Amino acid sequence: MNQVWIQCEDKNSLLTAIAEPGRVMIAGGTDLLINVRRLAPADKPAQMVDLSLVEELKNIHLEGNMLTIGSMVTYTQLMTDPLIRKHLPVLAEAASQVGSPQIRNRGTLGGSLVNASPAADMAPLWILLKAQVKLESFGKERILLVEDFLLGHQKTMLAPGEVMTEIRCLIPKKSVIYQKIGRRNAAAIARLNGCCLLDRQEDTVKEIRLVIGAATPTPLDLQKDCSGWIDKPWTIERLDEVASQAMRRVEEISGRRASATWKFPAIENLVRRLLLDAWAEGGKQ
Amino acid sequence: MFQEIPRVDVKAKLTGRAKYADDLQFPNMIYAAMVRSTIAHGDVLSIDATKALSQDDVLGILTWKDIPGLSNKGKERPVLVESRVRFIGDGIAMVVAKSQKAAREAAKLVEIRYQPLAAVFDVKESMKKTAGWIHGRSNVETIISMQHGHVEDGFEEADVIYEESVSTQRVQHAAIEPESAVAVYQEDHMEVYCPPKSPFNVRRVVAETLDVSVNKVRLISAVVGGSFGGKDYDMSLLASRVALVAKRYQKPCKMTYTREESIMEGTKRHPYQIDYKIGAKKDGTLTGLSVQMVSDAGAYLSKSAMVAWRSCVESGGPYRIPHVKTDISVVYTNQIYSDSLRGFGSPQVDFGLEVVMDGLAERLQMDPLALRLKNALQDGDVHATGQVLSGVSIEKCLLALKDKSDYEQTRKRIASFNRDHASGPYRLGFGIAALHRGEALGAGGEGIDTAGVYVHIEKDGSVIIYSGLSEVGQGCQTMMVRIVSEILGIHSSRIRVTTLDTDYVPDSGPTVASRGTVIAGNATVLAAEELKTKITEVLSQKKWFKKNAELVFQNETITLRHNPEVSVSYQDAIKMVFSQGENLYGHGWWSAPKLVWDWKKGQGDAYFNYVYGACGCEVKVNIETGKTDIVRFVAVHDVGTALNIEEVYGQICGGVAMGIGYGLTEEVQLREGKIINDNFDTYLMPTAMDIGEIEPVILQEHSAIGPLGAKGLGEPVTSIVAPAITNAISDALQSRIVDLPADLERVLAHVKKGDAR
Ligand SMILES: Cc1cc2nc3c(=O)[nH]c(=O)nc-3n(C[C@H](O)[C@H](O)[C@H](O)COP(=O)(O)OP(=O)(O)OC[C@H]3O[C@@H](n4cnc5c(N)ncnc54)[C@H](O)[C@@H]3O)c2cc1C
Repeated sequence: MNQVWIQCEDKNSLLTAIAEPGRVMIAGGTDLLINVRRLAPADKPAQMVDLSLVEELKNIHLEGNMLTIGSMVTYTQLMTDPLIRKHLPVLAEAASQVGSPQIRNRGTLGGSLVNASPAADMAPLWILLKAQVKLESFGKERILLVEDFLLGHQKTMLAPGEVMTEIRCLIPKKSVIYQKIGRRNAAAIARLNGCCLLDRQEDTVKEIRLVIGAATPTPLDLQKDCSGWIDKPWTIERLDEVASQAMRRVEEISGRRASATWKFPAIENLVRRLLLDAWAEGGKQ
Repeated sequence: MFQEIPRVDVKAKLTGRAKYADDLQFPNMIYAAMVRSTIAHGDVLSIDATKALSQDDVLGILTWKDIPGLSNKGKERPVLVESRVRFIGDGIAMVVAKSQKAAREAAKLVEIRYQPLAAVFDVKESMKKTAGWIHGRSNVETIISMQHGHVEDGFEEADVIYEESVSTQRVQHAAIEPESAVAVYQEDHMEVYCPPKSPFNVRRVVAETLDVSVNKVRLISAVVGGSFGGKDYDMSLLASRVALVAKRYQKPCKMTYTREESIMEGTKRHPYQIDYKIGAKKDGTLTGLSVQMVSDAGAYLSKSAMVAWRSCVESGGPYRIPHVKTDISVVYTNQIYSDSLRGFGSPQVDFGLEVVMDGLAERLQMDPLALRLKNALQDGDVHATGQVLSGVSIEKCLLALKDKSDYEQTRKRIASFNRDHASGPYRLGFGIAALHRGEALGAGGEGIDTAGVYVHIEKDGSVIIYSGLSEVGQGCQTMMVRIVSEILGIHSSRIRVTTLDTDYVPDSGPTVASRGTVIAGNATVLAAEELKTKITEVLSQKKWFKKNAELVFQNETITLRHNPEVSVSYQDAIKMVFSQGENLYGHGWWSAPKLVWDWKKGQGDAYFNYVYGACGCEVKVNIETGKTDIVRFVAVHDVGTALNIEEVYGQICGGVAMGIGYGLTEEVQLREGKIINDNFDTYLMPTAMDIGEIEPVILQEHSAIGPLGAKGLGEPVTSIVAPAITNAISDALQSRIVDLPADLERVLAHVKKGDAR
């Protein structure tokens, strides 16, 4: 079987190349090549379209409050970008916990979203930030919330002939806390991860956004579960309530599996820890 | 302290020029790929290779019927099964093709029909009479015992009795190089290239398979990309497989396993279940110990009995215990078979006893270090084997640990951290473990603890060392260079060690049991001494040489001890010897001292020497997630003489890293006999980010028997890492971890209710 490798150097030729059915895009390849290795020879993609030379997809820029990040931006680029470090350092922080240096040098943000692993590290943040993705195909484009884009384990709204070109979000007013639990300190897939933003005035909660990942097929947005808190004082009772509510939500969606013995108490602890740390952070001016 | 010698193989390895088996290319080479059992127990009814044989580039398929020699070796794993498969991964057939890809793809198309038999995966189930037999009429291969004094008396004398059950998991070598071998057919013999741990065993098994005498098989070692106890019997099977194909097609044949295949077929460390009962006086004096163990051998025998014997002999630890009773049952299951893995039965019992010592200390309300010091063996003490010991350095090791870890301060600092951060997510903990370990094969080795080394001085004064011991990455070649350079007083750059080739070196046994330095090192000493004698004989004919004068070989010169004015350069001396028509071949053959073990009584002289060590570990445990971080690991080892200090550091740090994997993350997970984590994305070894600060502490208590006073080190360094870690976690959580690994799940389960708030 002959393999065809198509390299595009700009977006237009890329859109033409992927309009042809049966072609598979390759960004960093860190998910794709592993998935392909497991396929039977007949099922392996015959034609690959390489995105790595399309410079237009590697930009990061800020316009007013709107941050736009190209889909081919790597974790390393995100970690070291001055704009990101200044305006949304939590993205750099989360990126620095992905895989190993080699994976961070190759792996891209677009690849991660399209691969749609439940344990992906950036996904909870995109949900919390209410980020959007731009999907382009020959002569067309559409914009979706990441929340709507991700459908489930390796399932997305991406249609044949479409490429994700950018991810964008507004810079939030308050800083965001991110945490990852892995079995080791590098090259570890998240057993759980999560992020939280908390705005408060003195002892009154103004806004809470809370998302946890790796517990359900797509990140679990717990903002609504925290809504009882808004304009109310911070209490430990409510903290416990939200934590056990998170556990119940996961149970509703994923059921109680063998891994639950660890996962359920760990989810409670993680939610509590995120809220506690965000509370402390939210008090800072 | 010696001058530093750069590791002899370092340049080739770092520049990528070292040739591993899979790098080797021969004209017209063909490739083989395995067809393996997909069921855990049963009989093969039929093999349908029609589809496989119709593929492009496929040459044929071989089964046990194509084996001219021995195909069935009793309880040993066969090269290819006749009909009975005993675990998922047993080799049934080989597909041969012109390319590796074609062979691998076609192998997947071979259809096997089985008559399944009841399979057993649990050792305790397997011991029952109702279990399906795996070999013969019992799944208990053997029970090995040690009996010292009368254990019941020991418990009667005790003020405190502590009982505990512990378990250890199945882990693997995980060498970076997967198994690979090439056989090259020659008219009158078979040439095999592979990374062997036990080259002469590989040669023997290939000869048995081909039904030829051993001199018709020549094994040339490729560079070994890591062994850790692996590439032993596995390599014998792989080499035999490629040799069969090479003979059948009269062409060179290569087979390299994928990582998944390597994990599926590669031997593992025996999982143990151990029940302890230990008694002590109020002041901590140990009075009695009972150890009841079950070892999971998996589907075939291999060295399981020898491994169990070592566990048995070392089960009492480096402690003075008047009454000890140990029994270990070696039990078959329908799972991947177990064999040697860096420690050979030590890590399991070291983990168990060291956890139990901490449990006992808690009962006695005694400091864990004080309890160990109180019972530490001394010179002249009687070991649990009945042997009277000398050269015991455990107390020195424990005291060095106390000093280097700043033991009391560390404990205080940790206690106050935990007090001050009681509402935070982290707890600190400190744990220790102590070690004694028999050197080399011991009485269980049955007369194979010998090695031969040749040292040749060439006419230009350069030196070649020929040794039958494999360089598996442990640095044994550099060790031999050190010895020759010390004894002949010449610069190490003059010396080269040749590739191991069974045609030119004597059978020196396997590279196991941390025996290389002691056994082959001593043979090297003898060979170098023989050369010294030959040089001395020629020089003694010189006028300046007085009767019975003594010569000193140093700094490339040979001088009279009592008159240093008189000297001759090494180079000139060599010239003189050759001009006399003499030779400079040196040969050394060294056998370990005779040892006797009384199998009935379970007592005897088990090892000619023991090595000692002590470790301390500080951990930071996240009580909300169960994640443990190693903060600091202090590893004290008595190495006798450090022949190459950098190598010693390397061995210790590598051994600690490997032990951290055993302690925290590594486990080969099986479901109904099938390995489910079959690559390194799910079989998790520690990374550089996970090993914390490792502080090697080297004690040098000269060995009476080792070359230049050295002791073995490869296995001791990894044996007590896991218990130091789990004892530290137990200290942090105030709840005892008694099973391995201490992963997120296990640790979080030990966090007391309410603590994580
Ligand atoms: C050892 C290792 C460790 C890892 N550790 C982590 C970790 O800690 N955290 C984590 O989140 N992930 C981790 N990953 C997963 C992986 O690295 C990330 O998901 C990465 O972001 C994938 O990006 P990529 O560019 O390599 O994608 P690729 O593998 O190139 O592509 C993935 C999928 O996305 C499609 N695709 C890629 N780009 C686009 C695009 N612009 N538009 C449309 N489709 C596209 C491809 O066709 C493919 O289906 C790890 C992977 C490995 C191998």
